[in-house]
Amino acid sequence: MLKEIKTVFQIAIKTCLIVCLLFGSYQYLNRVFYNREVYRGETLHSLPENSLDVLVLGSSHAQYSFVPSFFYQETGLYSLVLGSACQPLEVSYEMLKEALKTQDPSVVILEVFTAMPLHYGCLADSCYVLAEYQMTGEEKYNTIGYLPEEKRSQYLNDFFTYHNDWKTMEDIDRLLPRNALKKYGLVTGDFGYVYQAADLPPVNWWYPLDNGDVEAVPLEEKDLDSLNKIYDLCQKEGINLYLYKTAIDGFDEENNAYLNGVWEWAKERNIPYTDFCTEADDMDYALCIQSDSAHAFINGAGLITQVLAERVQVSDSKHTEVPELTERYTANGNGYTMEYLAYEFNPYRILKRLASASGMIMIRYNSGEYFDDRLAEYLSKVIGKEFDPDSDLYLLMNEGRIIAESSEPFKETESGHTIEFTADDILFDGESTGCKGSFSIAYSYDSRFPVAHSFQISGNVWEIGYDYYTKQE
Amino acid sequence: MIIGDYFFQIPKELPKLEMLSFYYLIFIFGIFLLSRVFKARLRPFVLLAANLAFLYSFSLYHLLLLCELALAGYLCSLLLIYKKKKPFLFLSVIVILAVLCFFKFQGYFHISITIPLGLSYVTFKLISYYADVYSGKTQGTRNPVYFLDYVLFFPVITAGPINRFDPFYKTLKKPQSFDYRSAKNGGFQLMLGIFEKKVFCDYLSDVSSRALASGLGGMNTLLAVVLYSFIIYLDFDSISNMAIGSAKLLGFELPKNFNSPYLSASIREFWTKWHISLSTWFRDYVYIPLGGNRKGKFRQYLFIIIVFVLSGIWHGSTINFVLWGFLHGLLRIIEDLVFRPFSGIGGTGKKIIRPFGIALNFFLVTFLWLFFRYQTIGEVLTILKSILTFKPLSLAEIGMTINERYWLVVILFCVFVTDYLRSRFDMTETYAKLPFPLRWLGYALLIVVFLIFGVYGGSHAASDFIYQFF
Repeated sequence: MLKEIKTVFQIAIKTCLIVCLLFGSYQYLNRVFYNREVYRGETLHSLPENSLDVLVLGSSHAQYSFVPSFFYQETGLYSLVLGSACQPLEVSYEMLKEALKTQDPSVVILEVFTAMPLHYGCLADSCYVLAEYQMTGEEKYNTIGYLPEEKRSQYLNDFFTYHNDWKTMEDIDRLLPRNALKKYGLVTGDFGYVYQAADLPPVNWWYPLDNGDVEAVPLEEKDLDSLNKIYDLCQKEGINLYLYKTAIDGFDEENNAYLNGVWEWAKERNIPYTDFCTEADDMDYALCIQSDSAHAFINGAGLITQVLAERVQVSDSKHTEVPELTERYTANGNGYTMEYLAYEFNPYRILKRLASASGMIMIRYNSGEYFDDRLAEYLSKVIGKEFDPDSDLYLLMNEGRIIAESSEPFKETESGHTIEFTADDILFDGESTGCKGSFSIAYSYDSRFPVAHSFQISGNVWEIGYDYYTKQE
Repeated sequence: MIIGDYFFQIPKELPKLEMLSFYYLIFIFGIFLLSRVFKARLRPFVLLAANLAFLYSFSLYHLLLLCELALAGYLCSLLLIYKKKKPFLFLSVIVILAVLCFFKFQGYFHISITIPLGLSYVTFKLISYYADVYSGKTQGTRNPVYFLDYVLFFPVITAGPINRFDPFYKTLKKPQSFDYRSAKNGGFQLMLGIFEKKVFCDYLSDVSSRALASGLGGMNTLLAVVLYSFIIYLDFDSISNMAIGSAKLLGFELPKNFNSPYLSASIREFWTKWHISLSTWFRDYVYIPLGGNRKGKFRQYLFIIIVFVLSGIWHGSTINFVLWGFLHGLLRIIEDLVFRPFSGIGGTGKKIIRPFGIALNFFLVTFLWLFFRYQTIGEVLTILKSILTFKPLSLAEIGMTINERYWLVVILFCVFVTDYLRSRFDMTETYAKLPFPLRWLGYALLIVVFLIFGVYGGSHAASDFIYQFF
């Protein structure tokens, strides 16, 4: 009998040991095999409490169309996109609840692509990955609860999903668990924005259909329920709600009918909204989107962000200044400005963007040719003082300050670079930037070789760029 | 909100007890505990209930068909027990073979009915039982519970090994005392089987598929073909280990099904180490009854060909399987004719020749697996043509990272070393005798390696065992 008890005891102890070994190893490995790419987006809970002014929720169209760092440069407000591919509205609601645990935004901008049946054609898995990384407690479980049962457990831990990363691991130090955020600074990533490079020269511009005539239909019950919940929560928390949809139309009347259903719902509640399909014409179709995914390119995103920055009502910024955040927003904004300029040829838009950016700006202007007033006004905003179209201008700015200015060419050293203005070019460290036209502008950030645009006026038409744009904005 | 719900989903219906599923592990350990809780005389009933539940988990169809077959088999066996007449034996064998042939060759009659789970193995077991009862090697049993326990024994029903009645019956009948060491070794062997499948086999399978899918040809295709040899071995060995381990947990000792087959220096030796339970079955119930080596060389060779062709037909009804069996038989005969004069070589000479024999044998077996893997001769020729382009191996183009290449080498090295050790020692017994810290260090290492390198999670869908379909 004693022997039997001993054996049972032995089995129990060893079983416990094996379970502990398995569980312990799993827990350890779970921390090692986080997914670095997804982790980059883990910004919500790395932000200081109550630092956000604006929260953007929505699908991948939100991720690709709203640039928080541009928004910061335009408004001085901190914002964050909590979006994911095909994120259902009910998940956006859970995301909002999650965000409100630590944040107190004044505005919630909701992108409503997933209210259209069109979104059923895409994979919605990534919102569960987002849930895995950025959500906690009930919200996390609710979100994962939308998954099929057999898939749920894999989203609750990194290791199950990402253990295959051993195939591409390069550094052995990944075997030592560490907090990536601590290593890489307070905030990583782009505050939820996903960059999409444009084509050069700009093609794949999207000409949305006019959906204004399509009669609205009642929304699906779950979508309506989620919209109501989001609205109620915003009301309760004193948050302004704003809706928008990027310049992708529903492709057919049925989808557009649902979209109009959303706008009807918004009108009933006096919720402001922007449908960039209907605005696209006014914006010269510059909201160009990628032909496969219909996501906005960087320059489309820049314009959408700019429009939203102008229209969204934020009474007062509630956030406390956080130097690390400001630095990150500014750095991202300047970096993306370079990308934006690389794909932008409209001088008005170029100047409008530069008015908010704070990298190194080089301007060379030879007077004598036509220069319209609006352009002069925009240029004045860039240089921070009145611009006189009748005088030649050679100007170097950095970090928003004028470093050197003259009506004659000059040479200056700034941030370790030599900038030389000549009568027909701007040289950056001795290399031509290609600024040959009568009005040239170059922009550099983070010591990168400048993105430059040069315009020559012939009659009343800009030879480069302007003839593509019959309208100014 | 119950957090545990998300870690372990309580199934709404009885889940399929596939051997790689978590549910199977729960099932087998549950039956292990139950068989210990109940008194020895109730144990056969517990086992029968487990067998029926196992089959039912796949569907009522499988359960009913196999039960019908087993009951028909039981009636035939009673006939044989009471009257050991040859016609009864033939009748019994023909009935059971007719059922097997109907399902196996239904495609020729444009019929499509799901083959009952484990039909082949049940057929083999029934035939061996009839033959043993007829020849008096075993008394058989009149007890239907014992009979059904043997025929439907769940650990081996899907992919073998083909266990014989007598040892099973003796274990079932004897009043068991709990053997801790045997149970522990069984559990370990079961886990090793899972490890072998998920860590080694599935990874090689992935690499092989990628090498073929790359369409690069040449050495890349050769790599895929060579890896297939390892895949089929590891796949079948792993399910055999799981079956043997499961049976051991329940107190039943099953014979080894593999004994380092790729370390064989000849086809003859290979077939004494590959799928041993099938080879011995064919030897005992086909080859020897036909006359074996007692009727002269010519007939012996004819019987060898018959046995191998039958083995091929059992694996599949296409011409490639027939060819696969025939070529194995042919090689076995050629080997006998060509190498018999050298059979006297021993000592150092044998040691020098043996590695060449192993390499040649591996080459031949690997080549013949092509017939096993592909449905038509045309497909085999396409693969051979692709290899003969001699394009260099390009692991980068196959999409293998540096880490994956190292891991491939580690796996092949491990397979070779463990096979060598297995051919010399009883590995589970030897491992059990290691000092406590070493053993537990080994367990920890296996767990960590399994967690990291195992092929599971994400979008991975568990692949089936190859032999499940025979």
